[in-house]
Parts: sequence; structure tokens; C-alpha cells
Amino acid sequence: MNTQELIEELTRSLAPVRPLWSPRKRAAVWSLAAILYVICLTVVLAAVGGGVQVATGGLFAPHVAAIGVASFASYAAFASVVPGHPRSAFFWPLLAIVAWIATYIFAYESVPATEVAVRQEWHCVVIMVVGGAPLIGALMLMLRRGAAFAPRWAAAWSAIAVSVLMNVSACLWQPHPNDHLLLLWHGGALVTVVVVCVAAAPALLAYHRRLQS
Amino acid sequence: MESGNVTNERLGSLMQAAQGGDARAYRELLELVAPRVRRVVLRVRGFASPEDREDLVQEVLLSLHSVRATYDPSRPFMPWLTAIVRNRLADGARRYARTGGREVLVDDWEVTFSDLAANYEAEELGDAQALREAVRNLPQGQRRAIELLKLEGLSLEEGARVLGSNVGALKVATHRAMAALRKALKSQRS
Repeated sequence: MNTQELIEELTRSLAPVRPLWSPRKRAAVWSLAAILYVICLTVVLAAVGGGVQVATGGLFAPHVAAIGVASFASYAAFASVVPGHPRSAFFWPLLAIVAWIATYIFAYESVPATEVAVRQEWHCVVIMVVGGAPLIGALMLMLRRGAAFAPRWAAAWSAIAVSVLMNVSACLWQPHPNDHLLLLWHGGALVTVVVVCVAAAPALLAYHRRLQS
Repeated sequence: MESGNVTNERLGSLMQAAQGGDARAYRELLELVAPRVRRVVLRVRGFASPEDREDLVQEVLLSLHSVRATYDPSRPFMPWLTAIVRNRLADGARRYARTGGREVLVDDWEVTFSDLAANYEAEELGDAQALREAVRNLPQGQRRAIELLKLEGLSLEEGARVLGSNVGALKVATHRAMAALRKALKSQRS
């Protein structure tokens, strides 16, 4: 098939399309829905597990920063599937992540050695991974409407956005000291979610799947 | 990719019209875009054969078609197109790196085997226009299999991913398509 024939074919098969909303708008919609979901999930967990403790002092700032990370990371994910979108979109989540980590550092509590046991927080990992699955799924479905030329980046930003929000839910449900074990369990769960999403990204987001003749 | 302001605005408005389903605007857009893309491909892939370069141009047009919903009319058109071109060139380079070093391209085999019956396939599929017509008349699944594997040069795994199918089903579809093409061309000749 020569190029002119291809042009005729593409013109013949042209159908109207609904242009995507801007990445900013899509991120705002997703972030709002995600925060509502986290609130609802936390309420359900509280009903099951016996109450929510609103973090005060040390862990309040990281939770607020986490919402910022989720918002900017989702914006970066939506921007990554729009060809030619300014790369400044990827600067803001990096800044937010740095601020988020800084709030944890300032709120760090060293636990006396005698009390350092291998505190197991599998329930937090489950909350972050299982509870975050619907959010990841929704985000991936929204991203598939775009052009995922760099699917792994889109997936990484998505996983970060969801994981930091689910971390908030896990911490609200069962507050724990901000120590290295928090970093191990919650940070480990976040990294695991990111790695799994990045690995699955080409299969989930390959835009070739949507090639239409 | 060069772009005057007027050209950028004109292309952007043509793209916006095309998003609304305006076929005439879309044809004009593609016909304006194709030579620009061809020049870029020639600049970046001048070492490639004319056929390979034209394949890349067509891949860019196919990609533009499939992701046209992502174009934001409030933003300039050329950066959007440039990103698509860059991505397709990178994909093309990756594909060449995967297969180019292991393939030897053979243009023409005048004689494949001494027994004429063994040249059945080459003889059957010799008429390009008739072949194109026969491909167009194939059932959609078989046509897509031929387009992806034979025209776009995807591997079986890539083709299966595009179709949301598996390698086995794609092989079957391709085999059936080839059989249907042979039958169609044979009946045309007779």
C-alpha cells in the first residue's frame, strides 16, 4: 500500500473522536475521586478494626504532603500520554516527593532499641496493595485513552500516586511510630507496587493495541 | 521539524476539524503532514532504503490517526506531531536493531527451486494490484493479520498484542489469509 492509498484509507475510515480533557483537568478529577475513595475505605476499615486516629503532630504534615504527591504524580501520568506535552509536568511531582520525604525526616522518631521488635505490618501492605488496586485500575483505564509512548513512566507515576494515598489510609487506620520500620513496610509496599505496575505497563498500556486501520 | 506560525495554526485547525469527523480537512491535513514527515525521516534515516523510509512515514500517519484524540486544540500542532514522529523513529530503530542484524534482505528470486511446482507461491502472488484487492476483500481478522505481519512488519508476539489475541490464533489467521489470497488470485487468473 503506498502512502496516498493509506491517506485515502484513513480518511475513509475517519470517525469523530472526543478529544481528551487536559491532563490537569483529568488529574483533578481523578485526585478528587481518589481522596473520596481513601476516606470511604478508611471509614470502612475503622468500622471493622475499631476506630481511626487522626494523626497529629508528626505524621500530619506527611499526609498532607502525600496528597500533594498523589495529585502531581497523577498529573504527570496523564501528561505522559499526551504527545508533546511540556516536560515541566514531570518536575512538580519530583518536587512534591522531595517535600514528602522531607516531612518524614523531620517527623522521624527513633524507637528505643529494647522496643525494636520485628514489627510486622502485613495488614498495611495489604491495605496499600489490595486497597489501591481499584484506583490503579481506574487510572490505567483513563491512561489507555491516551498515547502511552512511554508506558513504564505512565505506570510509575500512577503507582506512586496511588501508593502514597493508600499509605495515608493505612496510617490513619492504624497509626504507628514514624521509624525505620514504617519506611521498611510502607516504603517497601510502595516500591513493590511501582515495580509491578512498571513491569505490567507494556501489556496494559501498549497503544499499539488500539491501532485502527 | 520546521513550522511557520501560519502553518502551525492551519494544521491545528485542520486537526481540530478532523477530530469532529471532517474527512476533507483530515485528508488535507495528512497530505500536508506527509511530506514534512518524509523530510524528517530522510534527515534522520537517510541510510535506510526508500521503502523503509516510506514505511516509517506510513507508521507516523497510522499513529497520528490512532491517537488523534490526544491532540489539544489549545496547544500548537507541531510539538504534538514531532513527539509522534520521534516515537515512531525510536520504535523503528529498536525494531531494526532486533531484526536487521539477523536478516538478509533478498529482493528477487528468479528461481527458487528447479521444480516449477515449488515456485507456486511466487507465481501466485505476483500481481500487486490484484493482491491488494484480494487483501481488501479478506475478512477483517485475516486482513489485520496480513497487514500487521506482512505490511507493518510486526513480529508474531507484537501482532498478537496489537490484536489482543495470542500467537497461535494469529498464526492460524495468517495461514488462512494466505490460503484465501492464493485461492482468490488463482480464480482471478483462471
